[in-house]
Amino acid sequence: MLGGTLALLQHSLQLDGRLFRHHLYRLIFVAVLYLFVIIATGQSLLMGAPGQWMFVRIAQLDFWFISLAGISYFATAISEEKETESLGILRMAGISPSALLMGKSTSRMIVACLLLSLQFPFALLAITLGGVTTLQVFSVFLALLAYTAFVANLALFCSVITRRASSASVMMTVALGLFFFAPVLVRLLANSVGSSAVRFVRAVETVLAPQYETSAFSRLPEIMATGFAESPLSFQVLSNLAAAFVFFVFSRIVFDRVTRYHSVASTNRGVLMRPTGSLKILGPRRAWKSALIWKDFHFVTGGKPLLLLKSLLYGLVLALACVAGFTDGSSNPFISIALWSIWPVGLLLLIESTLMASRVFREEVQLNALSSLMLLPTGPARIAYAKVAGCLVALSPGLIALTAGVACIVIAIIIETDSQATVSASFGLFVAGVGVVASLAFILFFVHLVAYLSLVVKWGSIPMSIGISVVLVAFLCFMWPLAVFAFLGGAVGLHFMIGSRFRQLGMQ
Amino acid sequence: MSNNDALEADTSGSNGTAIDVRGLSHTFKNHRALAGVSFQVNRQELHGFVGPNGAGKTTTLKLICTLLRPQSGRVRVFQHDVVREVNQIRKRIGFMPDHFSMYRQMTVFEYLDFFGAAYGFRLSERNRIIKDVLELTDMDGRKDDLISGLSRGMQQRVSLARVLVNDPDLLLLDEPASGLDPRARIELMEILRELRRMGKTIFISSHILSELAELCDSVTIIDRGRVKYSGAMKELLSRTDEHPVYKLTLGVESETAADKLRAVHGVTDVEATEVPTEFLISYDWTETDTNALLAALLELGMPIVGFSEDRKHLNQAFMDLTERGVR
Repeated sequence: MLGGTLALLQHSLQLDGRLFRHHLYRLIFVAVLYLFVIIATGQSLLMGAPGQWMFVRIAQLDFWFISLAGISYFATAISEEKETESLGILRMAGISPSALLMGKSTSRMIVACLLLSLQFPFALLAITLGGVTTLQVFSVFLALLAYTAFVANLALFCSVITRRASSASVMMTVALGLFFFAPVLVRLLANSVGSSAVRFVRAVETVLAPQYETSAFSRLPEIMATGFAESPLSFQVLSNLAAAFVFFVFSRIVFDRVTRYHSVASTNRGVLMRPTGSLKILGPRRAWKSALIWKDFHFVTGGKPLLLLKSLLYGLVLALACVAGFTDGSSNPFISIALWSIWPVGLLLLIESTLMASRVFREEVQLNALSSLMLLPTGPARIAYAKVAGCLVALSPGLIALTAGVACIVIAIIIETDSQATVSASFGLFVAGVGVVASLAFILFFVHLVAYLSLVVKWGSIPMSIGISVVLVAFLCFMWPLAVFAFLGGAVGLHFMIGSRFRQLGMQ
Repeated sequence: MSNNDALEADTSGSNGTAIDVRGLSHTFKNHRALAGVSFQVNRQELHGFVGPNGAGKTTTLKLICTLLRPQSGRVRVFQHDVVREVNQIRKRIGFMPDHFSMYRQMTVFEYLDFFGAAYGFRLSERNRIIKDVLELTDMDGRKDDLISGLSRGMQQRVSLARVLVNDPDLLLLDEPASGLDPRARIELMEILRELRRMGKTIFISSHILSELAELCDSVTIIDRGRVKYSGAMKELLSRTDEHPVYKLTLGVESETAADKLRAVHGVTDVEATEVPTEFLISYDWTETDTNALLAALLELGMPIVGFSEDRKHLNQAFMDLTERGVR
C-alpha cells in the first residue's frame, strides 16, 4: 500500500510544482499577507498592539482559504480520476483503494499545509508587533490544521460518492453551508418565536451546542480573545480530527461499491422531460427560431420545469414581503416591502446567475461542441450573446421580482417626497438606492468573473471567483464610490476577455 | 437540393474545383504544422487525406473549414476565400471533427432540430430535412433516444446526420471511422458512397488506408507539414518505377514452377510469396504485352487458378512516401 501511496503522492507534488497556477496562488497569498503587514505597521503609529489585528486577519484569511480549497481543490481528489476515467487504470496498476485515497488526499493536504506554512514568519512578526501570545499563535495553527484535515476528508468523501468534480464541489458547498449556516438560521428562527417559547429556544441551543464547539469559525475568536490561556488541544481540534478519520473510513468503505459502477456518461437529463413522456409539454419540444437561446434555456438552465419552480419561489418571496410590509404598521409600507424583497431576491438571483455563468460557456468546452457551434454561419459574438440570452430567459422570474422590489423603492421615495418627510428618511432611501446600484455593479462583475474563470480553469470557477471577490471587496469597501466604477470597469474588461477566450477555444 | 443552383452557377464559371489550397503554412508557437501545402480537390469527388500523427491533417481541415485563419498561403472553397468570405463557405460545408462533439442530454431529434434551426430552416423544412438525414444514416428508429445512451457507432451516425442538416456541398470528415467496430465502419463507408452518388464532395481524413483505397477517387498524402503526393488514387497505386507486377496463383504446389516462370520471355524477376502456390512476376512491358505473358504461362501447362495485376497497396505507398518516426 505504501508504494502506491508514495507514487501518487510524488506524482501529485510534481504536478503541483509544474503548475503555474499554484505558484500564482501562493504569490497572491503572500501579497495579501504582506499587505496586512503594511496596514499593521501603519496602525502601530496610531494604536497599540497592531499584531493582534494582523494575526486575526491572517487567521480569517486562512479559514476562508481552507473552506474554498475544500469546495474546489479537495473535492476533486477522486472525481477528477473518474472524469478522466483513469481510476480503473490505477486500480489495475495494483494501487489499493486505501493507497488511492491516501495518495490523492494526502498530497492535497500537504500542498494546503505548505501554503499555510508560508505565513508562519508573518505570525511570528505579529507576536513582535504585540497583542498576540505564542500560545495563541500555536493554538490558531493547530485549530486550522485540524479544520484542514476535517475539510479535506469531508471533501474526499464527497468526491468518492459523486460522479463528477462539479457535483462533488456542489455537495461540499452544501455540506459546509449546512455545517456553518444552518445552525445560525435555526437559532435566528428560534429566537424570532419570541419569549413565549423560552424552553424551545433552550432546547435548540442544547442541540446545537456541539456544532458551536466543533466549529473552527467559532473557535478562532475564542483563541484571539485577550487573556486566552486554554490548552491548544481543544474539543474543536479533537473533534475535527476524529471527523476527518471517520470520513476517511467512510470513503474507504463505500469506495469499491460506488466507483465500480460509476460512469461519467449519464443516460438521464435531470429535470428535463422526455419528448415521449406524459409531461412532454414541459419538455424542450421543437427548437425556436433563435436556436441557441432555446438550447441554453432548456439544456443549461433547466428549461420550463425549473422556470415554473423559480416563478413560484420568487412569487412566494414577494408575497411574504408584501405581508411583512403591510402588517408592520409603518406609514410607508413600500419601504418594508422593498427591504424584504430586494435582498432575498437579489441573493437568490446572484446564486442563480452564478451557477448559470459557470456553465453557459463551460458546457460547450466540456462537450467539445464549440467547434460545431463556431461553424454556424454567424459570428462568435452573436453565438455568445444568444447563449447569454438563453440564460436571461431563465432568470426572468428573478429579474421581474427584482424589478418589483426596485419599483417599491421608487414608490417609497415618491411617497416620502410627497409627504414632506424628514431629510434623513429621504437620504436613507437615496443611500439604499445607491446600495442597490453598487450591488448590481458587483453582481455584474462577479458573474463575468465566474464566466471567464469557467473558460480558464478546469474546476472551481465559482469558489475562485468568491475568493477573488472577497479579497477585492476587503480592499475596496473603504472607498465604495470607487468600488462601483472598479466593478463596472472590471465587468467590461472581463466581457472582452471572455469573447477573446471563447474565440480561442472555438478554434481548438 | 437547395444549393444546387449555387453549385451550377459556380461550376459554369470556374474550373470545377471544390477546394483549392496553395502555399499554405501555419505555425503554432514554435511548432511548424504546415509548410507550403498545396493541393486541389475536384467537385463531387471523394478525396482521401492521409498522413501520420502530427502530419498537419487536422490543422489543414480547420483551415479549410474556416475555424483557423491561414498565416500564409491561400485557401479557396468553391471559389470563396476562407478569410474574406467565411459565411458563404460555412453555409456550404459540413465539418465533422475527430472527437465527439455532441450535446449528450439531447435526443437525436432535438439535436438535429437544434442545428436545423441554427442554420435558419423553417419548421416545415426542418421536418423534411431531419426525416431525410435520419433515413440516410439509418437512425430513424432511434430519433427519440438520448444521445448519451447511444453506442459509439450510432453517435458517429448522428454526428454525420448533423453535418448533413444544412445540405452541404462539401463534407469535411476528420477521422470519421476511428474507434468504430468493423461493421460500423463498413456501414459508414456505405453512407459515404451514397453521399458521393448524391453529388457531394467529400474530403476525408483517415488512418484506415484499405478502406480509403477502395473508396477514394483521389488522395493527398501529407507528412511533417508537407504534401508528399496529391492526385488520383489509381495513379498512386499503379505507379511503378520499372516493371508492372502480376500475381500468379497455381492450383498445386510445384518445386520447379519458379524456374519455369523465369524462363518465360519478358519476365525479369519471379518472387515466391508466403503462400507456396503464389508468385509475383515482374514483367518488362517493352518486350511484349500482358496477353502474350498470359498465353506464355498457359503454354507451360501448369494449373493456373488466378492471374491479376498486383497493384501497389495504399499502405505500401504510404510507407514509401512518409518518414519513419512519430512527431
